[in-house]
Amino acid sequence: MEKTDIQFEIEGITVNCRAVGILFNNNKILFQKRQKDNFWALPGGKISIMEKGYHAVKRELNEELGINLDPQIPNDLLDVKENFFEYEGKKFHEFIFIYSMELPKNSDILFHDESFVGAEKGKDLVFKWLDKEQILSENIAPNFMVNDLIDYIDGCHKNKKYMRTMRRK
Amino acid sequence: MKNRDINIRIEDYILNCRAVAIIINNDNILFQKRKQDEFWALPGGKIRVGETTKETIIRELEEELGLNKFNVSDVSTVSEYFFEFGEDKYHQFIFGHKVLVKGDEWILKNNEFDGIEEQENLVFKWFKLEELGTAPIKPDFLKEQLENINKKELQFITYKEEK
Repeated sequence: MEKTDIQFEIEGITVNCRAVGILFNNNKILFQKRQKDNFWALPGGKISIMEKGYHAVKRELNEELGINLDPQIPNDLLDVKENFFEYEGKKFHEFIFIYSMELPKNSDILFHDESFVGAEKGKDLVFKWLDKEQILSENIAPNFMVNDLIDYIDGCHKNKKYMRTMRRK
Repeated sequence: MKNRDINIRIEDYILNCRAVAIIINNDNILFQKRKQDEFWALPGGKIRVGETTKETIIRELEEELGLNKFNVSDVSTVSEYFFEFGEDKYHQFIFGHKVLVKGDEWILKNNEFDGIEEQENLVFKWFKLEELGTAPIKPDFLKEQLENINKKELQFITYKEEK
């Protein structure tokens, strides 16, 4: 049952709802980027209408990496971000729902040292596990999440689950 | 329906984003309803495009109660709520923020009172936290979230109403 993404325009501003996962292994977090972009983001994608957020993450991980995660098992919502930004000349009002996700211990995905290409045809996605130093030196979008991601790796994120809002030009 | 509200029909469904205020005073929590309605809900309203959830709450409390002396905390509850109302199926996100009313605002001194927005016909009432279990409030899962409202963790609920 394919449903439409939650993305629509009101008064020239595009509203969209994204669900992303924090996949954590060996003190690194998994990121994705499109070949043409110069920034990394947490893996995931747009939530479809009437779709639960953690289902959207699992669907995207399946489409993009061929990973099968049980949709019956709910995931913790770690945080929600409100992101106001411009991309390719368009204004966006975005909600980002961030879920904790776990890969099976034997998943191939865990064993990539370098960047690797996604499974979804035509999507042109590259994936990479980034450690703390890399998260601090690479371009991460949205950039205001960097501190939270460092805290997550340091293990102190569990004490500060709250929404951050950032207006970016 | 104001055209800047995030309240949009997508296919056969309505996507709707709300921000609500969790106003607690001496173990009482403030609810609102329209006079003709049966159930009480948290004060708040639809998020407008370009507006943060905190700004929605500040705007709504000003419009509905004329409040201006209060602090809005970071988000404490997030709900994904799927339900039917009338002919329509809804996909709703609700962001709840704790609000601390400061000073001697008049709303703290009355148990039940009317809103100041005439066309909205709203009435407000304080409910005891310990009596929420039997109170006529909606949505139902709110009771569970409010029981845990003083915990540090984000209270997240996904709720699908089955008919």
